[in-house]
Amino acid sequence: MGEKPGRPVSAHLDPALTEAAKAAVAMGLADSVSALTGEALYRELRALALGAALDEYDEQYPEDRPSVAEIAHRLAVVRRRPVAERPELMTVLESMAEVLSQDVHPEDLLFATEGHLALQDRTVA
Amino acid sequence: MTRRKKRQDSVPAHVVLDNEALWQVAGRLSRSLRAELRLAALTTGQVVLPASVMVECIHDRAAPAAARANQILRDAGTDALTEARAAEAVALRVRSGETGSVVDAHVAAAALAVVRRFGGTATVATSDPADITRLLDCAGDGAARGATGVLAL
Repeated sequence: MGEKPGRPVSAHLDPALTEAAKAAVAMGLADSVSALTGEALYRELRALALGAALDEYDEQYPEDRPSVAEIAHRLAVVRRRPVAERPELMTVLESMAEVLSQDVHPEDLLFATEGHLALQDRTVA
Repeated sequence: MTRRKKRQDSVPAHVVLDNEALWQVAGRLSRSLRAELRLAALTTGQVVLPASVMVECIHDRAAPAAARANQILRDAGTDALTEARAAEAVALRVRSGETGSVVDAHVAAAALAVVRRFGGTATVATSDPADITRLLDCAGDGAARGATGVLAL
């Protein structure tokens, strides 16, 4: 369970997070706190790089850029949310995005839409 | 443009690329695949390119023709066809009555593996959703199967 050689860096981590990482190492779930931190950082950087590449792509081909409502719709499908089965979901997501913002995070848009649909169902009932 | 910030509490939505998806990445992305890749970026999901897909598409990352693909895939993870992965792919093919090709089986096994390793969900972006779904349905691991799906291209 030793730390691999590498360049020491200073990072301010939440103490609770550090303790959790140490516990994960003690339980044999990770090789070391450094490995765990490095892997998490690597994943974050990969996601940022992909986001930047897609931003460039959006600038090159703005006409086919998916809307936040379309991304939120895919989120509902991949997470198998019950609302994914509703035929009106896309329309409601688009309306909610108009009200909130086109820059809202798809997860927030989906949560808001689920809440709106639940309220609508109660009102109808 | 305003860049949408990632949320820290997102459940990762991984994307596994089949042949058609890799062709699109190398040429022109469809709207649906763009949405799926954006979802991966926003949730710290992995983009996984199975090594067998690279072989089938004759995808050489060092070739000039791969420049566009490299722009999107520069940080994608390659899923090697290791002995363990091959064993799972074989099991999927056997249980499914030899559905699909070797590449299809590897793609399905890669989707199950990324969910087991990183949690979250995995979507296989494919032009052959029927075979991939059939293979995924034959996963012995119900939890991993429940977290995987397909995006028909």
